[in-house]
Amino acid sequence: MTKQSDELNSLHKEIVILNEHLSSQKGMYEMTTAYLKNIQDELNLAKGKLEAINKDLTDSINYSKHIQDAFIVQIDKLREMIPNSFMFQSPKNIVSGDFTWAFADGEEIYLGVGDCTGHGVPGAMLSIFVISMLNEIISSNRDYNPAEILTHLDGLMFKYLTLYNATIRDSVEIAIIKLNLRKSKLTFASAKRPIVIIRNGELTMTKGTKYLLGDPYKRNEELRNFEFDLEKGDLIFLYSDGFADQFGGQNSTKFTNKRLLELLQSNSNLELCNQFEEIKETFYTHKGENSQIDDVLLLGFQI
Amino acid sequence: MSADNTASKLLPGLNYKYDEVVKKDYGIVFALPEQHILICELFNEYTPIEEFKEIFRATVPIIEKLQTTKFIFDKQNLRVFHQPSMEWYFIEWKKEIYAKGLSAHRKILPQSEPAFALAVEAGRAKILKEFPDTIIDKLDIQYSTNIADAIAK
Repeated sequence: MTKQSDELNSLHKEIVILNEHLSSQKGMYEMTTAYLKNIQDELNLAKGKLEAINKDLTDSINYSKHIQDAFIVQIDKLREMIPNSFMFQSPKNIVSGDFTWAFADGEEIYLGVGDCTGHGVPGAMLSIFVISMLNEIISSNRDYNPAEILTHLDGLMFKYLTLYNATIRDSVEIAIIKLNLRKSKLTFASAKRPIVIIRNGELTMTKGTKYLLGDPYKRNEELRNFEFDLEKGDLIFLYSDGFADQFGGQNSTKFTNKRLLELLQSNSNLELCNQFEEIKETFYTHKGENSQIDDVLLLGFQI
Repeated sequence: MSADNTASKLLPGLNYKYDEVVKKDYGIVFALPEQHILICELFNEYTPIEEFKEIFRATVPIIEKLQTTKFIFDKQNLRVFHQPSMEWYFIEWKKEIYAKGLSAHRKILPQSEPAFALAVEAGRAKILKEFPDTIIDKLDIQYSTNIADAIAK
């Protein structure tokens, strides 16, 4: 009887422990599940906050694009001055460091294509500053030639960008032309950006001066004007470096300036609107799935 | 089935003088007197709370006597994490031995048991949330993958 009782007690104890074991196992999984759910809830909350912040930032940048667009010459305005023209623009982000500037004074047209260092918001802020300075310069004297405009821009950039903060190292590469369509005259001056003129299929590229605007210690040459007598049918192109520097193709290599010149030359017998389509298609085909590395701006017109 | 590289299996092969200072149905405690270390190994997948407390209570006078500075908890045989036991271990036992000068804890979790490791993390988070005055931030707690590493670091 005692032996049976001992066995029963022992069995009872084992069952109690087994129950406790199972109950603990259940508790362990419930606690872990609750812990993971809590982490998931926190992540969802953080995701919601990040999405809201992202939306605020994107809305803000989208709105700043409207402001930047008010400063930059758009294609319709350009065509009022030069009817047979196009602009291929592909900003890396919503706002761009590449910009066009234009000013018409009677039959004289001033046109600039600029490429501010960097891209996105910093590039866009600098572009608005540069455009404002260009407007100020041309308003103060409408007889300035492109080299004089750039010289004044250089002085203003040095004055304002180093006035309060000596650490600003940003600048702009910019080509400026003064165009008289009636007289078929073009004057070109530039800090680092080239001009391409194609006449009867023959391409001439004039490089910009090696000159960093706003930094008196980084220049190898003086700014100077180049004069061109134009003929009917001449094609003129101004562009930033984003197109040539874009990686793509089978080996993910840069498009290169050489290929860009070949592209402009090989399309030069097409109607200008078709040249624009070819340029656009070539860029996006080359880029493929690669990320865009910089802003792209290419402006073309035909006399 | 017990794990292969627990303290009781590996200690004989290591070059340390050690004594068996506590032995119960559910666990064993070794002392490395020269290193002032105690090592506790639990035998089963699950240890009932009273048996758990019995083993750990038995360590308190030994910790004091041997001036123990490090406690290694070998949990490699465990598969069930019992939160009430862990709360008692954290809140009461660790506090008691901290008062006796022991603040270094090394833990060896079961290998290839992510559910158990996750339960440890969940349990620890629950304790920190429910017992904000715990002494946990005063302790040197580190995880090891084997007994030799736990003794050394």
